[in-house]
Amino acid sequence: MKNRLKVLRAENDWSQAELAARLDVSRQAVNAIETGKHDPSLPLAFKLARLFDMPIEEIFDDS
Amino acid sequence: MSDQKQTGDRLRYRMYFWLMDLSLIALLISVGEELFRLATGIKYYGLTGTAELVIGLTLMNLRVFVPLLLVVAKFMRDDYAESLWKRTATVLAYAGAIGPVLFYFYALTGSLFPEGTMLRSIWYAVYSAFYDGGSGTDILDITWMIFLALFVCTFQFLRWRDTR
Repeated sequence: MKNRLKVLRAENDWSQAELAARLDVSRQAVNAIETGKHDPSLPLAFKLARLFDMPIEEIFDDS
Repeated sequence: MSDQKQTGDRLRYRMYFWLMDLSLIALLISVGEELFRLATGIKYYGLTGTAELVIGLTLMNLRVFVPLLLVVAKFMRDDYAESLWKRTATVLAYAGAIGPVLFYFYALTGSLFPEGTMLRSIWYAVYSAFYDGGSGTDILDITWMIFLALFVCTFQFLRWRDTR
């Protein structure tokens, strides 16, 4: 699934490690989501949406 | 959530991947060492009893008890590690069903390797692990250890493939 995580992270000037710390996951998890290798669980997707203050569908694109 | 708890969580998640790496290294060393012994016929490396015991116990712990912990320790897995765990479990379910059939065909290939050659020794080492187990306890032990080894290898393979 495509997502805008890398762009959103860059806009906030966060490293993968910083974003991982805010999400309470490993840096590898952030990297895997950014590269589209891992679709996050629903709780983590909601966490991301809250962190970036935007709806889930604006972060992830399943088309 | 407090900073201290978050730091603890992250350390736990990182440790899961570190332990997985160590387990794979221990597995590769053990397999390499077994193949080296088979190929050269060398049984002892001239180590002292204590050194051999320490190295042997360390490798066994990393090969058996650490993977056991990694399979059951859900609290050490974050979202991504949990997903890798589930993908690994799926692969192992297929392997559990298909594996015995493949080994049956493997057993039939023994006649392809002439007696007394290194290839025959390697073939027999694998064959005897599965078909000459002896008592039920042996079979259970071997199945358990192979399952743990396969779990580590599959998990690491999927993790490596995700980085490509």
